[in-house]
Amino acid sequence: MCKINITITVNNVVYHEQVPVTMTLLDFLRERLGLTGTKAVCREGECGACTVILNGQAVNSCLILVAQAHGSQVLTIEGLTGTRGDHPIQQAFIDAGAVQCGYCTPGMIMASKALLDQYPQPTEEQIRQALSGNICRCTGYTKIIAAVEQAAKMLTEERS
Amino acid sequence: MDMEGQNYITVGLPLARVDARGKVTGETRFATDLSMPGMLWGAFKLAGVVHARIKAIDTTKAKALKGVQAVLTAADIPGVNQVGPIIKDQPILASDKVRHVGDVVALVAAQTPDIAYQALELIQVDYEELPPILTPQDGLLEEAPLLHADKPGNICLRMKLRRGDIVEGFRQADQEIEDTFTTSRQEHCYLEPMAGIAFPEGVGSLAIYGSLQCPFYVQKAASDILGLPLNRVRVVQTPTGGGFGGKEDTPSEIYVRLALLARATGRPVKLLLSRREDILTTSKRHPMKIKIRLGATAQGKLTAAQVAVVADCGAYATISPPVLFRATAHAVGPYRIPNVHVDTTGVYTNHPPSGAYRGFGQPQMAVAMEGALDHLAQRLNMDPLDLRLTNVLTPGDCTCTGAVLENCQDLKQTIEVAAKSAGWRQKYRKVPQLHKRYLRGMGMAVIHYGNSLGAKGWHLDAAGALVQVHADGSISVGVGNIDMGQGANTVLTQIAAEAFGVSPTNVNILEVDTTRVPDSGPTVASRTTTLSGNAILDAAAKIKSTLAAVAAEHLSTPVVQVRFEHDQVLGAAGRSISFQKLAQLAYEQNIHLAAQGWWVAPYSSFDENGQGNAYYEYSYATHIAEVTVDVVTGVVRVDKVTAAHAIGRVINPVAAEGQVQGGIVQGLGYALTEDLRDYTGYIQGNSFATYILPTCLEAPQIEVHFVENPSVHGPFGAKSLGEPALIPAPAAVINAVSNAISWRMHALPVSAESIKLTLDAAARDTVRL
Repeated sequence: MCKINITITVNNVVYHEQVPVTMTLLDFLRERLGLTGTKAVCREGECGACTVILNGQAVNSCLILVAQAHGSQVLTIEGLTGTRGDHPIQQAFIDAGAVQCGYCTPGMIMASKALLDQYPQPTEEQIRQALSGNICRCTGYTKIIAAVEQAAKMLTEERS
Repeated sequence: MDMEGQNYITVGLPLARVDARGKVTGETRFATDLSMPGMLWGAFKLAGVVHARIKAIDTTKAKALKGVQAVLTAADIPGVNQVGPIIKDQPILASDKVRHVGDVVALVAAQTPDIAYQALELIQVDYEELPPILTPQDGLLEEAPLLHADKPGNICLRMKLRRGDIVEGFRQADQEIEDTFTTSRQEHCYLEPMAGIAFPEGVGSLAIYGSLQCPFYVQKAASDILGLPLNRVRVVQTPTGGGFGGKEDTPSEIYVRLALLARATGRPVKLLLSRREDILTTSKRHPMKIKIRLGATAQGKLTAAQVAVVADCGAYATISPPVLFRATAHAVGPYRIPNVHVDTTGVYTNHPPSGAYRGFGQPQMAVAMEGALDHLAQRLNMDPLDLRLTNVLTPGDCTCTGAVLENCQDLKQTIEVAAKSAGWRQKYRKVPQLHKRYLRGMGMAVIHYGNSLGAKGWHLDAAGALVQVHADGSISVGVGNIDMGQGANTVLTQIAAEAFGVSPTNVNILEVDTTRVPDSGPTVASRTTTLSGNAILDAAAKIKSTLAAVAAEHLSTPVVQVRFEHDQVLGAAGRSISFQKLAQLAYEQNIHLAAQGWWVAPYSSFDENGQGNAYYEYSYATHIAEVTVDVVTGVVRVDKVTAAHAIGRVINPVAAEGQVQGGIVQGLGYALTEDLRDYTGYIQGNSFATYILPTCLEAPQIEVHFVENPSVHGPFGAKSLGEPALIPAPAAVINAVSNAISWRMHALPVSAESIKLTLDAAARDTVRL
């Protein structure tokens, strides 16, 4: 098994690790760093449950080799909860009733964060497009979209 | 159990889900997030062929691979090699035959996932392939091979319903229609794949932690297969990322295989099962072919219904008997029909077993009955809404099983509320739209839903609760039914909090562990709110009675005047004590503040002619779908679904609304895009890339209404919701599509291709050169 040395920053912590070249970013986060919030569901980039933010972009971590992320910044769901408490997106998901079984939730929240970082006041259409890569089997999506709209409002209020 | 007329503290309020915070931070540990020292990975060798005799299995190379701790076949099973919740026809490891492409022939326990998969490759199985039975019709042929030696004609089971005089019924009809509908094999696609760990516990005992719906089913299967008494098997349900019935029957095979490996190696074994393997090996929704004939007078009064159902049970029976019971009992919907014949036949085929799936036979029957009603409405030149209003059951009427519904005014109300809200009278058109690219249509479906397990499942229909008030006034609640995302823990928290008059933050629902309460049956049939809820109320009542006596003395108040409200315990003349202090006081007096609760479902009947009340309570629902069909591509966009649900009393309105929204979108996928493409027995739709699930782009606008009419059975008057949330949706969507294109669609999924073919054929038929 070929191994390679990488440096990667995850949730603002720098890691120097030796990894198998075939290891995905998803498995690195879960198995090597113990950050199990990011979920493995389909392992083929179809469901978005493994969504993390890589250098500011929402990506399916199951499709990224961790070696490709050498020198990169990664934000996972665990990195969203700061010292001040839950991020407004997390709070909005709770308040809007957008969480049922919870398995799509970390991916949904990360995809939502990536959207709101780029478009702080998205239209419903933009929200749907941004989340179209995240499958949910429980909620029917309605309350998830409402949660993102609510989070956008909360974040806009926070800024002003 | 009814507390009518009171202002509730938490019942009826949209309490935020008690488990939401852990899920939004990623802290919640699901089964696959768990790790134990010395843990091995357990993987399954799938058959890979559709129907074959096993001539030999050679595991020597696999066993010799470095890092492999065990390789097991059927020969290594210590107890019986048979599972099956009702009919024990399924070997946990195939011994002489494999009957579907996902059948399991061997197990491997290895130190890493890579080694486990390598070992699977090294297991050599010598098959003699046999001709497969791919449809029930093939299975019923005289020359068909037998999938199970003791099941002639490959018939898994037969059921019938006879009411009135069917010949006379059709004689009285002025109009008659007949349609045949075929429905497809749907996959659950719970986001969290099957996951679990089995490990030896203590000396001679075993534990299984898993993502599952029925801890007591798994406990029983482990006991049978490992030859251990029940008191040596502990099953714990881990937070579960979706079930929908897919984690009802299958865990008894999947996690017990891990238990075999744990027993063989003496170490914890964690499941290694890819999404593709999950789709190949786990149970599916029963495909059905439903022939339905309806007769009615010119005024639209139904006089007769004759239904013949042939269901594809797949390779093993699993949960087919209660599925086909429910399908038969609900075959002709919530309508007044004096003469009804239903014949239901379940047939074995070489496909994955057909088992439990949200709706449990009812979505299929609704597609047929509601589609047939629309056809009949067309023939009678009646609005489909009026046809339903004319025939819907009203208080005092009985269903096709003879169940008298004394209190069913909420059924008709769901039709009226949905129709008014959707603007049916203003928007519904039955005149074909011509020469347009986008055709709009509207369709409806009305259903009744027998709560919990019904007559055929009564022997399982009880539940327990263990409630303890601690010395600091906090309350622990243990139940036997699980939360798989439907919100059970939240609703049960509200029920417990309401019972004691305390804030919901005082209540903690413990993880479900088979050692805490006696067998509480499966978490299925939308029964948890009622069964576990009532068990909690039973336990709470006992503890409250004890606490009231302590309070009566402390507050110098007659015990009947003691009240529990808003974390306080109130007595006469304005005297009070906090709930927390009262608990502490009781502990200081060595008073026992714990109790077991138990609730048994009322008995119901269903004789050999399908007559009896069948279920002790019924929920009702109406869905109205509005769609737009693009005639160029065949693609259907569901614009809006209006849903009205009668669930007795709504305990948590946001959670209930979320259930309906999710059920509708899951139903929409079943109706339009989900297709396993399993015609050859090999499943082409074995990944999320090829099995198309609705994304948020497909999610329609959904409007949900609840009609309240408290039940005498459920806690605070509640009735079932989980499955009714899905059942009417596919039928409503298909009726809307049929209305849009002015052709009745008869086969699921109603894909873009099928619509195109229908429209092109229709166009050819109308062009004469």
